[in-house]
Amino acid sequence: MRRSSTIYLDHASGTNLLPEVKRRISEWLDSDVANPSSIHQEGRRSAADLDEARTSIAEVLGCKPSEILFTSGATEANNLAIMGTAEALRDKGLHIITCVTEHPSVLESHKTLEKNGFQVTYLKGDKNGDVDPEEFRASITDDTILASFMWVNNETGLMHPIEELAAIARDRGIRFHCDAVQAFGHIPMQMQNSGIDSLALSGHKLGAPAGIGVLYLRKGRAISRKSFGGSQEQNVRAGTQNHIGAAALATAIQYHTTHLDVNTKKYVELSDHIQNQLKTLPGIQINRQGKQYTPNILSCSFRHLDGEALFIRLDMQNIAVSNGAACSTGSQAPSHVLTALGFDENLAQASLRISMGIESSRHEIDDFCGELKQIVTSIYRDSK
Amino acid sequence: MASRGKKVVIAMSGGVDSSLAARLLVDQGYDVIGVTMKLWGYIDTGGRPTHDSNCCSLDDINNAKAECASLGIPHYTLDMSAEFKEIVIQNFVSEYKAGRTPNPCIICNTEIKWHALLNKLDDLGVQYLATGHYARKVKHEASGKWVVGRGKDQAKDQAYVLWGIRPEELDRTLFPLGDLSKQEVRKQAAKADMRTAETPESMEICFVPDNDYRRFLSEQYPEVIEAAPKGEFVNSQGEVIGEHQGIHNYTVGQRKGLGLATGERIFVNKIDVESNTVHVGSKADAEATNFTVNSCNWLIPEAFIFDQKLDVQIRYNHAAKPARISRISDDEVQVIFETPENAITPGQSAVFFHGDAVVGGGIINSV
Repeated sequence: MRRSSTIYLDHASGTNLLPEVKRRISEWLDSDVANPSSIHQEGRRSAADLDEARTSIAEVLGCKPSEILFTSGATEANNLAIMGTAEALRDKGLHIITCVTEHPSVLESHKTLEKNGFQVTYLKGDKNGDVDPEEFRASITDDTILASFMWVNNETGLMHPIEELAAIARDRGIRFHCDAVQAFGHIPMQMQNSGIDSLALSGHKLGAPAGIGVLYLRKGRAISRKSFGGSQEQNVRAGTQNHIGAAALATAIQYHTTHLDVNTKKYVELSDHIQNQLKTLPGIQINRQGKQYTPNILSCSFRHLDGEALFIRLDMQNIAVSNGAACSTGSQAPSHVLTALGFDENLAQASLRISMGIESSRHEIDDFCGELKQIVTSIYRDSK
Repeated sequence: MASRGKKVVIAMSGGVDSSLAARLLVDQGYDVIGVTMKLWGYIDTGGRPTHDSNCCSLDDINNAKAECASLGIPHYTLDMSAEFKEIVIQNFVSEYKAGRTPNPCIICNTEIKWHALLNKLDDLGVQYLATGHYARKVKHEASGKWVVGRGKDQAKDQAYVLWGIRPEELDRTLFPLGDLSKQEVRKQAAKADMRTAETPESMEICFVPDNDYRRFLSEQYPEVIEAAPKGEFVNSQGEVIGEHQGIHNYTVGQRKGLGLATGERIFVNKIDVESNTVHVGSKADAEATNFTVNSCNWLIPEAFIFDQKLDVQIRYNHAAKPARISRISDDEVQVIFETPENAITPGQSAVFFHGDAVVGGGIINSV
C-alpha cells in the first residue's frame, strides 16, 4: 500500500504490483534461477515458465503462443513493430500513416523512418483527437505499407475506433499496428479475426513490474529485427528472456481479463463521481466531449492558471497526478497531445491527467477534489 | 525557533554554495523547497554541450535533486527560459549592439532570480526566497530599512551583483551563507558528505560557457553582427589610426585584440555608437571622475543618498571609492568620484555603499 497520506491518481503512469503478481514473484525469489535457453533441466524449468506465460497471454488475446513476443516494454514493442515492419516492407512502398496524438515511442519511430527515406502522414483527427475512419481511408495511397494508431490515448482517455480502422487497413492490404498500452484491462481484445497485425502492451501499467512488455505479431508478417544476437522470441528479438517478468505480466493479464467487468463498473462510477465534483471548480474545463473515453482516465484544464505552480502545490500536498510528458530536466513541457488538439501552451501546461487504478476509492477522489479546489482557488487568489 | 515551519524556496544551481545553503535552512527548522531554474539550453546558446558549465546542465539539475533527496525535501525544476531569453539575453545583445558592456548576471538576479521567481513563489504560497550568495541582509540603522551587506568572505563577496533587488523583495530574502567563508562552506559540505562539496567555481557567464561572447553573438544573433559595420579607431589627438571590426567587439579598458601596432600600450577609452568610432588612448586618457547612472534601484530613502558621501563600486572587481551622487532627472543621477577612476564602463553597474552595505545602484549610462 502507498503511504496513507498520499493521494495517488497517476495509475496510467505506473501502478502498484497486484497481490497475485507479488505472490508469483516471491515464489520465484526462492526458486533456482537458470537461463530459459539452456539445455539442462534447470533451464528447461525456466523455459516452461516462459511458455506457460506465453500460452496464457495468447489465450487471452485470442492468438497463437508463437505470436506473442516478450520485449522490455511497450516502447521497444512499438519501435520494433513500426520500424521493423517498415524496413521489411521497404520494397513494397515508403508511405506510412499515423496520428499526431500518439505516444512518443510511436512518433519518434516515425520520425526516424522519415530520416531513412519514408514518408509519413500524421493524421490530425477531429477536435477531440479522434481519427475519422474515412479520413484514414482517404489518406491511404498505393505506396502505403503501414498504419499505426493507439487504442486509447494515454492523456485524454479517448478510445479510437481501432477495429474499424484495422478493418480498413486489412481491406487495403496494409499492415496495422496498435499501441494498446492504455486499453488493456478496459477493452476486450481478440486478435484472431481482427485486422490488427501487431499490438503492444506494457507490464507496469497493469500491476506487473516495469521492464516487461509484449508485442503481438501476427504469424507470417515479415519484420526486420532491431536487436542482434541469439534466436530468442521467434528470431525477432535477441537477448535472454526476462522469464519472471513474463510470468508476472501473464499473471496481471489474467487478473485484468477476469476482472474487466467489475473494474469497468467501478471506474464508471468513480468517473461520474469525480466529474460531478470537478465541474464545480473555478476556471475548469473537462476535456471530454461526447465520444468514447475509458472511464479510468480523465483530463481537465484550468484557464489562466500557472500550471507549474499547480503541479508543485499538488505535490507539496502529496497528491500525485500527471501533466504531459516530463522532460529530462524534470521541468514540464506542455503536452504534445493537448497542443495537437489546439490548446495554447498555457492551457496545456495547466492540465491534469487524472488516472485511477484498482486501489482508487470514492474516499480518495473526495479528498483529491477537496484539496484541488483549495489549491486552485488559492492560486487564482494569490496571482491577482 | 522563529524559523520553524516557515516555507522558504532555495534557488539551487547544483553547486556547493546553494546546496549547503539548503542544508543550513533545513537545520534552522525552515520548511525548505529546492528549486532549480532552467534558464537556457544549448539549443538557444550554441557552444559545446559537453563543455563544463556551472548551471542549467542536466548534471547540475541532478546534483540539486540529489542534494534535496538526501535532505528529505522536495525539488522542482522551473522552466524560466522564456523569461531569461526575453529579458537577460535580449538585454545582453542590445547592450553590445549599443557599444556598451552589459553584466547579464545582475539583470538575471534582478529580473529573474528575484522578480520572476518571487512571482512564482506567490503562486506557490511561499513567502521566503533564499540563495547561496555571499551577502548578508542587514538593517540600515539610520533608515531602519533592509539593505544588502557584503559577505563575510571578502574574496567571495557578491553584494555588488545584488543591487537590483527591490526593497519589498529584499524583505522576503534570506542569505544563509552571508557569515561563512568559501572555505567554511566547502568544509561543512565535505563534513556532511555532500556530493557537491568539490564542485568547481563558476566564473563565466552561464549561457556563454566557453567564455567567448563574440562567438555567442555571431552564432546566435548573426543579424546583429552582420548589421554592425566596421569603423575607425581614433586616438586622443583625433587621428584615425586603424579600422575596427564592429563596436560589439570592444569594451572600455580593453587592451588586447585591438590589432593596433602603435608601439605603446593602448586602451579603448570610449565607444561612440553614433559615429561608429572606437576611441583609444593611454591608460590616463581613460580616467574620469564624472558619470551618469540610470535604471536605479534604491533600498533606502533618497534623503540618505543624495549629496551624502557614499562609496561607489563600478565593476565586480573594483574597490568602492568615495563619491557624491546627485539627481539629474527622474531617471538619471550623476556620480562624482573624489579622485579619477580608470575605465568607467557604460553598461556596467554602479553600486552605492554606505560602509559595507549596498543602499542602491544603477547602470552606468554616460561618462
